[in-house]
Amino acid sequence: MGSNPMERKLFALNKEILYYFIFTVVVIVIAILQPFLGYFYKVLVTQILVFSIFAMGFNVLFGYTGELSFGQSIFYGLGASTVALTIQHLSGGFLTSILFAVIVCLGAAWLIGFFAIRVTGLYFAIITIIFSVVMYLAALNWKWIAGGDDGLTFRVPAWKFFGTTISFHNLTNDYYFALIFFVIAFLIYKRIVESPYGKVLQSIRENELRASVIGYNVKRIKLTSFIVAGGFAGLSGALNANLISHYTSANLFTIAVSGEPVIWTLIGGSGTIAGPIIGTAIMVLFINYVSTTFRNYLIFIGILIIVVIIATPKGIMGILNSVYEKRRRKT
Amino acid sequence: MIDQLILGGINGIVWGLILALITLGLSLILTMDVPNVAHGELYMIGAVIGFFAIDKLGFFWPGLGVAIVVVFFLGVAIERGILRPIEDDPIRILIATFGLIFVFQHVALIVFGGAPRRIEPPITESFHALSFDYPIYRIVVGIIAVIILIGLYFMLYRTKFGLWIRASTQDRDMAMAMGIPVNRVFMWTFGLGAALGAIGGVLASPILAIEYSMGLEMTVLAFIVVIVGGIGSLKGTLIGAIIIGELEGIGSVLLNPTEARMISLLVLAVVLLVRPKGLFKR
Repeated sequence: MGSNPMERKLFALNKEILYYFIFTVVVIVIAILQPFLGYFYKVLVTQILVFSIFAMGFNVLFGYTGELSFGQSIFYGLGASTVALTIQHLSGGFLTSILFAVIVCLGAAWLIGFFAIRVTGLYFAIITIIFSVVMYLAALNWKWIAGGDDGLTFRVPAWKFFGTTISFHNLTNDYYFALIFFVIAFLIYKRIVESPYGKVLQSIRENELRASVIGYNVKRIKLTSFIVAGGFAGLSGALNANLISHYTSANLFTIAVSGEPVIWTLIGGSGTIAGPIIGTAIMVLFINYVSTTFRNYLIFIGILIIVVIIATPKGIMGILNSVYEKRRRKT
Repeated sequence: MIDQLILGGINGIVWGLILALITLGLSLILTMDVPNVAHGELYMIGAVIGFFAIDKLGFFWPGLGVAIVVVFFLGVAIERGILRPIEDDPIRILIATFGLIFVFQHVALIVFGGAPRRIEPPITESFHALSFDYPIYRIVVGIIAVIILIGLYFMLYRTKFGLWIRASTQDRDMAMAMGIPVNRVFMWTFGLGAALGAIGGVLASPILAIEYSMGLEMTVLAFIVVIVGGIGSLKGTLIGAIIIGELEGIGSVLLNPTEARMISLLVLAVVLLVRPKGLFKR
C-alpha cells in the first residue's frame, strides 16, 4: 500500500476499475462463446454459473463472517423443491417459481438462523449439521416435499411473447438465463461484501468481542449474513431446478451437497470476492473430467480438500494475492 | 403394547451403551480440540474390517481384535500425518476431516460394495421373557460395553497415561513444561478414540447392518451426544447416549424409525441451544 492517502485512493480506484473490466470481459466472452460450445461444455458452463451463486452466498457467511455452516443444503434443496411445488401445484412459471423459492429460503434461513446463531464456531457448524440431517430425514420421509428418494420431475412452462416461445428445456436459453442471473447475483454479492455492512462482517470475523464492544449487534448481523447465504443458496437451487436438472429429490438435502460450497469456496479462496467463482469453475471442470474416467472420483475430492486445507488455507486467490503483493512491493 | 415398550426400552439401553462407546471415543478426541467429523467413518471402517477379518478367520472375537488394532493404527496415522500440521485451528481440522469422509466412504464402497451386509452373531441363542424372545447376544454386547466403560474410567483416573491425557487436554503448554510428551499423548489418544469407534462398529454390526454410508449418521449422533453430555465428561456422555438410545428405542415403537430419529435429533438440538456447555457442566 502506498503511504500517501491520495495514492492509496487512486490505487483502490484502479483496482476497482480493473475488477469490473475483467468481470465484463469474462461475461462477454462467456456470452460470445456459446454458439461454439458443444453440448457437454454448454451444460458445464451453465452449471458453473448456477453453482457459483451457491458458493458466493456461502462465502458471505464463511469467508466474510467467519461462521462455518454445514447446513446450506437445506436452502439449496428447499429452493429446488419450492420450484417443483410452485410449478406443479400453483401452475407458476419460471420467474414466479424463482421468486417463491428465494422468499421461502429467506424465511427458512431466518427461522433456522434465529436458533443456530445462539452458538458460535464449532457448535454453530454442528447445529447446522443437525438441522440439515433433520431436513434430509424429513424430505426422505414426507414425499410431498421433494418426492422422497425417487424425486420429482417437472416441466417448466415456456414463455410466450406474441407468437415466439421461449422454452426452458433448451440448452441455449438456459445458458443465457444462467448468465443473466449470475451477473445480477454477482453484482448484489459484490455490493454486499464491499459495503460498510460487509466491513462489519469482516470485523466480526476478525474479533467478535471487539465488534460487539464497539456497539454492533453481533448476533443480529450474523443472522442477516446467514439469511443472505440462505437466499443465495435458494436462488442457486431454484435456478438449477429450472434450467439444468428439471428435477428435485431428497438427495439435494444431503450433507454432501452442504459440503460442495465449502469445497468450492476453500479452493478458490474464502474471504475473497472472486474466490468462490474460480473455485466453482475449477471444481466443476475437475469433477466432470475425473468422473468420466473414474467412478469413485469423490476419493480424489476428499484428498484434494485435505491437501488444500493443509497447504494453503487461503486457496488460489490467496496465492495470487500474495504474488501480486510481492510484485507491488518490489516496484 | 406394554411388552413392546419394554422391548423397545431394553433395545434402547443396549443401543445406548454401544453409542456410549463410540461417543466416548469422540469425546476423548474432542477434548484435544480436534473436531473429527470422520469419527463415524472410523466406526464404519471398523465394521468393514471386522466383516472381512471375521470372514477370513471364521471366528467373531479374533476378528473384533483385528479391527480394533487396525483402526487404532489408522487413527494414529491420521493424527500424525494429516492433523498434526493444522492442530491449532479447529475449523481447518473440521474441514480436513470432512475430506476424510469422502475418502473413507468411497474406499469402503469399492472394497465392500453398496449393498448392506450383516455379520452373523457369535451367539445365536435367545431367551424367553414376557411375550418375546430376546437374543442373548445383545445382552452380552451390553455387558461388554459396560466392562469397557469401567476400564476406560480406570485408565483415565487411575493410571499415569490417563493423568497425562487429562493434563495435556487441560493445559497443553503447562503439561509440556511438566515434561509430558503431549504430542505423543495426543497421537495415542486419537488412536484410542478411533479404536473405541471400531469396537462399537463391530459389536453393532450383527444387530444393524453394515453399509458404506452409515458413518455420517453416527458422526452426527455422536457429536450431539458428546456436546449434550459435556465434552470430556464420562458420566455426561454415558447418560446422553442412554437418553438418545431410549428416545430411539421407545420412539420407534410409537413412530416410524425415521420420525423417531428426527425427534431425538430435534430434542438434542434444543438441549444444545439451551445449554451449549452440556447438561452436566456448571
